[in-house]
Amino acid sequence: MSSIRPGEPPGALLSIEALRVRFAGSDGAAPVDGVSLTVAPGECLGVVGESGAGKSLSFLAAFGLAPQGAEVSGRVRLGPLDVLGCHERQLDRIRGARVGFVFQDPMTSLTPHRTIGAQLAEAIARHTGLRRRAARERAQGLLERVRLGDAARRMGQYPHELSGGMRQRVMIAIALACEPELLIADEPTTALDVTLQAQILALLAQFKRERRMALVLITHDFAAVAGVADRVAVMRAGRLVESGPVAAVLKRPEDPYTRELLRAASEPPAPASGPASDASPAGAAVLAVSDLAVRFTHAAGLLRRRSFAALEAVTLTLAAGESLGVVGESGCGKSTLTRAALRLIRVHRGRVLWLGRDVSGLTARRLRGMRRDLQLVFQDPLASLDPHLTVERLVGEPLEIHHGELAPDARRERVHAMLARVGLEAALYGRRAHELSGGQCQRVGIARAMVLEPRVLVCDEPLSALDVRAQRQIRLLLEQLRGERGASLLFVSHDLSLVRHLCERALVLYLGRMVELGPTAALFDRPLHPYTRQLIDAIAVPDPDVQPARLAKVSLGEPAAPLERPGGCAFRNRCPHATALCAERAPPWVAGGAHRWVACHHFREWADGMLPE
Amino acid sequence: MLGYALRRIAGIVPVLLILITVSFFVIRLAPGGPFAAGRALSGRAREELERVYGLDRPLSVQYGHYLLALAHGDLGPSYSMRDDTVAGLIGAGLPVSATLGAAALVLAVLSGVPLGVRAALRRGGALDRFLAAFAALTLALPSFVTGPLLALAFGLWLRWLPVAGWQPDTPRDLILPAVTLALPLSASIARLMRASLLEVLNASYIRTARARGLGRARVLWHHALRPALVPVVSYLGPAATYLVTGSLVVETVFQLPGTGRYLVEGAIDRDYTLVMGMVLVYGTLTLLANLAADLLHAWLDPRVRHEPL
Ligand code: SF4
Repeated sequence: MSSIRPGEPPGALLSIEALRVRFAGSDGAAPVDGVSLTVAPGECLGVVGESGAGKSLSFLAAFGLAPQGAEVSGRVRLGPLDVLGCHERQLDRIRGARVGFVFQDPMTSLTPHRTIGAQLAEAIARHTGLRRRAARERAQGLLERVRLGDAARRMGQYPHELSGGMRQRVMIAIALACEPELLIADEPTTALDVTLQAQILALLAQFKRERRMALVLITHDFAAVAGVADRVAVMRAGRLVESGPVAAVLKRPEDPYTRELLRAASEPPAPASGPASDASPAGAAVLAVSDLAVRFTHAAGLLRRRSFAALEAVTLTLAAGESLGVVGESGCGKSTLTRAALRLIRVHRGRVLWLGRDVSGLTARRLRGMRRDLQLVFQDPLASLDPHLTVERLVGEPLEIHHGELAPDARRERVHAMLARVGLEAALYGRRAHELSGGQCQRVGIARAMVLEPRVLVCDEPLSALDVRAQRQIRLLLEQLRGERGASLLFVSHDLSLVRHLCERALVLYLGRMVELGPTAALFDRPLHPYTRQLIDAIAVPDPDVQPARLAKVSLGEPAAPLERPGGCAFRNRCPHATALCAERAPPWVAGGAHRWVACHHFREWADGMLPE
Repeated sequence: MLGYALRRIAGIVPVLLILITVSFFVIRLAPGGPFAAGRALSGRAREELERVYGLDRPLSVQYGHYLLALAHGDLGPSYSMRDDTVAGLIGAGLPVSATLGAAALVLAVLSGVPLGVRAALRRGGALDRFLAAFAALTLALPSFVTGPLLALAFGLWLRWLPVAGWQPDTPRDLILPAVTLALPLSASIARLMRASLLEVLNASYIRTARARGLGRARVLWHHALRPALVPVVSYLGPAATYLVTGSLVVETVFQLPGTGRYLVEGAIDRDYTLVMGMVLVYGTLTLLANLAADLLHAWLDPRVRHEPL
């Protein structure tokens, strides 16, 4: 029992040996096929690979959490304890106490009908034997430690009342509740925006440091690994392909697969430049939005309603052939902006001009005609495709609706040409959406939008649901399509580095207001607004030499919520340069250079380094 | 929660009004009338009767009168049973029908939910297979078959329970009818419960709960059961409708003096006021059942509670 096996470093906290997971009744390859690895106390192991590589399943299976019907074999030890040999009851004493878990999707990973406080306290009470009161007190302390603002009130709230970032903080608090020796974080930052990703990772890194807690970071994101991990293991199709110290693997990958993944993650940014560059004469504008405001109401108590400005005073133009990126963290109003511009939601104030025509008074039929020229690509490709239709029908459908005059043959030809253009093989034409991978689904979504040869393509976070390789492929596809079709692109994303690839100009939104607008290259070189600066700093780079230091600089507090917008400059509570003037008056929208606009009282001083940090 | 309940209750009134209006006119559109030819009445007597009951007046006037009387709690006289008022007839029968329906519902829930939970937890086990057979059988057999069968077994052979009939204050009389009415409902509830619990147990928050080491019992009771009850609770609305139509048959089979028969007889006799009274009573009951289902749903799921209506 106690003898240390060869190849196992002495004092490993977790050691997994020849782990195999099979599903009863399936004769395909085992999803986890002979994985061996170790984690030392206080060490962070990054486990990287594409979706379906078996990374999560390995660690779930190791602690008895694999889905029903899984056959698990091999050897898993926590210290001297043989974990696979444990009964469910013994496992329940390990899980949540010695080993904590943080799962990917904070939206669905918390029990919907129990308050945050109850879910935290029950785990504490269970493993420590503390009484209810004491457990709740400790729970609240934990929420404060993961920097969840207003912890006392959050204790009594339900998961759906919290944002995704807040829920992920709660998940981490739950996982840390009993001071585990090992934390298994399964894609903890996927589906969060850039700022939040950096904050959550920084938080995990901090706990690992302070408590000498071992951390397994399962992710498809090399930048996350570069920032936190000491060692990396790369998985593919249920097997380990490479592992070693983070610097070695990321800088000198040996396995060709690792190299490919890394290349996808660290494409050198080639700033986009296009035909219409930054000169955008008003006459050629395909889409012009002026003074747009959108208000949302929500119930606040029994019969009262409160409304808040989701969008305020937004003015922009999109020239023919131009690509404009709209960036900001969740809740900044970027998706609201596109929806309002497409008239999918009600506009409170302002005008939307489409090819010089005001669309606010248009009838439904005219709007349909307009929508033909204005197509959308959604974030979640699977959810936006009709599950009953084949790929071919899905792409043909918009043609049927908008070009009924086309003969079936001609239509089929166009559909096939488009499908080939987005790189889908003929073998896939008869499949349905759920039979495709995420990347393939998104290709269908793009083909569906582009087949009408629209004048404007609106993309709402089209890559955030995909893994690294699919992200890169779709990004390249969008770049090419933009070049050859001449459509204007309105690209909404929280990912500044993506906008830098794809867009000539970028608009930065913060809490529903424009804070900066300008040519992308200039914006990156010399941001005029402190918020733009922070966004740029939050971009993660897959370089283990610089990323930990960048992560250490991230402020851990929560981002602002649209309901609690401060007066004066809305950014002032996060701004390192705020002065009394910022609290008093909202900064005006002023020209800040050639084609550049900004809303900051002090942009001249701080951008040139005049204000003390 | 209270605000939500109040808003929902206020929402019932207009629905009832629409129900009354539609059925008022629809039933008068049907050919014939309470005193129509063929009912052994001379033409004069018929005209006289129609005059007395105000049936010769324009429809809109009749409608106004009906609403006015209704506002004072008066359901009008019965046209076919001329010694009774509608309120009197319903008042006499409703306690029987309501007790029967409530007893059947309670039985069905108390048996169906545990059965479904158990079957889900031991999928493929003996109880699970029993449930499949039980459901197939009770859902296929109509209650005019199961009713007599049960009466035969428990009444005639075993002599445990009365075969039929009803004396006031003898709950034993209700057992067989209630069981007959409850059987298919119990099977449906058990199947719903089984399916929804199986689905919930696969949810990722259940995995989170297990990952916290909470233990099987706590995961089931505190995390899985409430969300799994949601489909069962939503089913209470349709279940109420089933109980109304089902009680009609069961009351006939067991010769219970409930209100079910009025629904049929009133319609055949074109007893406008009686039918309207029945529509009103059963409509209100069904709406209340749906309301109760929604309130329970809101209690089970905080997300529903917080939704603006
Ligand atoms: S106006 Fe003031 S607070 Fe706002 S961004 Fe500029 S310096 Fe910061």
